Amino acid sequence: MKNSDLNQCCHESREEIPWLLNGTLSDSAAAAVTEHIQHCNVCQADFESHTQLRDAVLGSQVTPMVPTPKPEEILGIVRAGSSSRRRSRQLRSGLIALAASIAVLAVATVLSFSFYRDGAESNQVFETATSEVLSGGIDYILQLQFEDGVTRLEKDEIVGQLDDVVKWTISDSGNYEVHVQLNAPSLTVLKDYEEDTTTISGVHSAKFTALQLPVR
Amino acid sequence: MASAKAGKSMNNTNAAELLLLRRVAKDDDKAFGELFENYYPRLFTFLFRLTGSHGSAEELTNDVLLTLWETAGRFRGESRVSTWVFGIAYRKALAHLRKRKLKLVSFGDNDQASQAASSIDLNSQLEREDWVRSSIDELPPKQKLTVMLVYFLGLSCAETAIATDVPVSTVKTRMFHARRNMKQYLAASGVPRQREKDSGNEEQ
Repeated sequence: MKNSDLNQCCHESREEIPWLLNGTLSDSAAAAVTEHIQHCNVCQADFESHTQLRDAVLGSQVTPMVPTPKPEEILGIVRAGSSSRRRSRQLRSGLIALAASIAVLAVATVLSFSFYRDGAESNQVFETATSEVLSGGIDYILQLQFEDGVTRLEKDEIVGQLDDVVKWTISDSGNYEVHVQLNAPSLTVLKDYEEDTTTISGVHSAKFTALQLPVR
Repeated sequence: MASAKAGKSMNNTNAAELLLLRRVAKDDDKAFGELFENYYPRLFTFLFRLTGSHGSAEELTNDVLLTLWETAGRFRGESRVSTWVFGIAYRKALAHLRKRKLKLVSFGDNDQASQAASSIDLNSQLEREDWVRSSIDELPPKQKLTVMLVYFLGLSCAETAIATDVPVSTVKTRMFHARRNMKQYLAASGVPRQREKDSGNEEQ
């Protein structure tokens, strides 16, 4: 076997070790990986490391006392969920209308500023690499305010590290309007997203303006 | 033969859960109660292992199940119901771990961990396992969650990709980096490698 073939075989086998260990590989794939590991010291070492990792995950931690909610508690949660669901539907409808309005405004803005020379910062739309993958859902608009002294590059880096960002625009004051596409988030998820973002160094505030979050 | 039987049983379970989910989408309290009872123990234990906190695990579990209630109508059946539910748990847990990680970083306790390692007798297997568990806690949230989905919940590579909403290649990369980070953490903490300890030979 050529070195390149061996390397490829090694690479493929190493990648499959976690699923050999959790038993979800097909029989034929498991046989091939096992055969390779028996003859490859590097993969044997990987296999041992992964075994340690798996054993630690499954290992001798104290098993928690799992709460056993009573049926009436479950129903209580369901009822709370019902009102929450109704509220979500209303909010979602409002959000779609709002998103549509914003989209129209954004298009108008882009058209009206299309004569801007290269390098102009404000009111341009910046799209992320994931925008095509994510397009089609509802955008949640996050208003990001930065602390004084944060450079344009730093701001872009901060936005770049946020999850599920489709695009963003920059206002004249240098603040960012970030379009985040989340898959059916609960209000808690939106609030967590805001809090996580606010803890990033350089961020003064982060607020989803398309939702009125309840006071917790 | 055994795996074929297991596969058939898995399909039956998924079909039954799919029917329950369809009923939940029509606001059927009883169907929700059944799904709640099916998933509560697994979700709670999974989230407890991740967070190490009874209260956080309980809160997150309720949050996951409420999201299930709110969004059941949007499940398109492109994956198993369990994969979808654990995907919700993944996103909730990720947000929680990120928040906690930010708090922990400010304490700067890595140095303390290294000092403690030098003063502790590391020869017992039990202590080694403790250190490996500590290394899991030190993993970045996405790697830690991927490890838990694969080893604790036993998801396949494809299921993990669906649950975490990333390509299969990203799942493999996260598992690769998790293993590498664990090794680096153990080495930095002065924990000898398994082979060296067991046989006295240098790992190749």
